[in-house]
Amino acid sequence: MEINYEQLDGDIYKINLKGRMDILGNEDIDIKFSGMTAAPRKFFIIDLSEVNFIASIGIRTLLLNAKAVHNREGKIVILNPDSQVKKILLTAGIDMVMPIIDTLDLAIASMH
Amino acid sequence: MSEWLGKACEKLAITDQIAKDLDVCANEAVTNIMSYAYNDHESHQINMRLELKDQKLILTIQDDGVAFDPFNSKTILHKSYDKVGDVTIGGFGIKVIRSLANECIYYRSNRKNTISLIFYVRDSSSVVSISGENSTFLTSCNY
Repeated sequence: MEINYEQLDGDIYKINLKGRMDILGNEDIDIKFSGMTAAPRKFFIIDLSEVNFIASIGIRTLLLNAKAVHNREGKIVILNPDSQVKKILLTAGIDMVMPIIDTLDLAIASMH
Repeated sequence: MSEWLGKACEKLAITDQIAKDLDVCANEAVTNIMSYAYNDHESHQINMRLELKDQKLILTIQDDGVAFDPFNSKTILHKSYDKVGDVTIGGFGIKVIRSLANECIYYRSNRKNTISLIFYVRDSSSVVSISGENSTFLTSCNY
């Protein structure tokens, strides 16, 4: 699995994930993901448009980092997941705690 | 495992959507077994079988771990929450399986756990074709 990030205006960090977010894929990105969302950064857009599979281990990674971000009054949203990935996220109820947003403009607007 | 499932679904002419759901459920079920079924350092075998029968796609997974019914209501940890702080990490896999599969069955026999996840494929568009006269196709793999 691949992960990288870009800094947008307003101290927003867009984290881009690519590949299968299963046990093996998650091992590739777990520590890097935590590093990218570490303090003092507070605002994150997680781009899942190139993630074609997510398992509960991937959901766990998203939530652990979301909890850390929320604890320091930051914000984290999910951007444009693949339809199957979105289905799994909705099934798990993640949308209740991490908004799922379809476009980058709306995701940026939701940050502040 | 996902590669095996993909090929099996292709042979069974299962639609992409059901194949994806099956892939998620199989991953969650095996992850669950690996996390909770074994408390020793011995090697173990997990058997998996995929069968299309009477318009039902049946994924059966068997392990020789300690007795554990993942579908017991006590193992379902999450129902709803309002904010991230309310979320307890864990239990998502079983929740996803229960939501995607039409039936989830567990039984223990001969010191083995068996779960069967059943997906209805009644819609003719869900089963494009089944090769041969017999509408049952059986394939399996071992881990």
